[in-house]
Amino acid sequence: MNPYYKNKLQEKILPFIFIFVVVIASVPAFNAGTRDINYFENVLRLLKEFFPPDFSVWREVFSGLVETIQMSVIATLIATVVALPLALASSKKVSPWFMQTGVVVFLSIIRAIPSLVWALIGVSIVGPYPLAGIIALVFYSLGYLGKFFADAIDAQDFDVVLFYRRQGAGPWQAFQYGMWPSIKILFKKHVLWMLEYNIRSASIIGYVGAGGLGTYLHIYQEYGRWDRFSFVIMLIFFIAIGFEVINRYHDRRQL
Amino acid sequence: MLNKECLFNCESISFSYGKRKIFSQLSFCIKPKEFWVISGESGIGKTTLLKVITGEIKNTSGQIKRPQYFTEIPQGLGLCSGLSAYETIAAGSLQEIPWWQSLFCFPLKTMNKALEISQTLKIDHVIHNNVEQLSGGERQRVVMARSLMGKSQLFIVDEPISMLDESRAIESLLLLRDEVFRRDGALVCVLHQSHVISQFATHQLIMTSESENGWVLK
Repeated sequence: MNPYYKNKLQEKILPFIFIFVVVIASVPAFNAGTRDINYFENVLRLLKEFFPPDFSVWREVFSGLVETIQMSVIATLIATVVALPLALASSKKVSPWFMQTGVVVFLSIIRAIPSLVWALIGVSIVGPYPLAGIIALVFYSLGYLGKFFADAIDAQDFDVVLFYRRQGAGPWQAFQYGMWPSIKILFKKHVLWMLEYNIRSASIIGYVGAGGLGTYLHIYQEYGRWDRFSFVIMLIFFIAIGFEVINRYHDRRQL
Repeated sequence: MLNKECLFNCESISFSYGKRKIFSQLSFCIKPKEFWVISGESGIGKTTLLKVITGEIKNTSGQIKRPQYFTEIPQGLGLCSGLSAYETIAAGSLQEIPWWQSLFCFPLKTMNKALEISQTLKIDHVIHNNVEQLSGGERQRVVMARSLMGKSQLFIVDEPISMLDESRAIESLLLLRDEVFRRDGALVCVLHQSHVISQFATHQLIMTSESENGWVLK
């Protein structure tokens, strides 16, 4: 076969067939059981209970929000500081293979455990306090930031770093002036994304007692106060939009 | 025998990529105030020879003596995007500054020197720009300015003027040579332009496939 068509077959047609087969095989997931449920009526009923939101509980909800943000900020900071050396240790270009493999496996394991499970572990160790939430978010973020940072480092050209090293600069100086300026934008982006993710996550882990907004979500759900529940959801929604705006602004400034 | 008077000295060095021999049995000694030009057609192995000289790649055989620190101007320029031209120039003196002094910013003395050199090379109007915003010629002069920040005596330079117009090329190269000679240093430089070679070279190493060893010394 002409190599041109062989390449096309490998690059386009075979992956397409693979994705097609996977999608077809996944169709049975549209399984809603055989009970006779009126979906439309359910949506309407829920919306009626959600609206209008009950803003009277703003004091306690805002205190939950502050706690959520505090937990996320501390957890993201700790995770960033710990993820940096781990990323270097798991980078293909920096570390020997045995260290790289060890750290990559460690990071995948902690990434495989959902934040809710980390929160359960945290609660069982330190009790139902925000500290449990911090522990959960630190571990969860570490798995992601470690991988993101390592990928960012691996995508870099090491020529400039090696150039400064040959000129007699120390290892830190060579990194600071030979690589950091070109990866810092990506690092900032990852850290901001993680902070946003943690704030959303911190709103959920309260369900298992790890503090923050989730605590109130849990309480309002238990007492069937969907009007208050929707107020909390709205708040989370606005935070997400706020972060998006900050990210966009940040991106535009970089261009 | 490796000579102590030389800034750089090599004895019977060879290099091959697998079975393809680039050069062999090459010996030379670079003394202070010498301007060595390496020339030859494209793809013959000039940059490879420079990389062997800097130690970036290892020679297949032979002995090399090079100073602990030397200054390089690589063909790829060795620029880090995201860094301003000003800081890039200042980074040329990193080997003289302890890491904690360059952690947040460079010392004032270093920045003043960087400004002074950029004025001499006529790039002071762009030093606050990021290096990726500069033109090819401006980048080459930034890299040249950076190379002049250090105190090393041996300068290993790969096509430093390929993107400059003729008058600016001669002017920049003169400045570089005078500064290097002032500190009793020497240059090894890959160059293509024959009129520039005749004006500057004290020694010329021509890489050619016509010679058995891959080189001729002029």
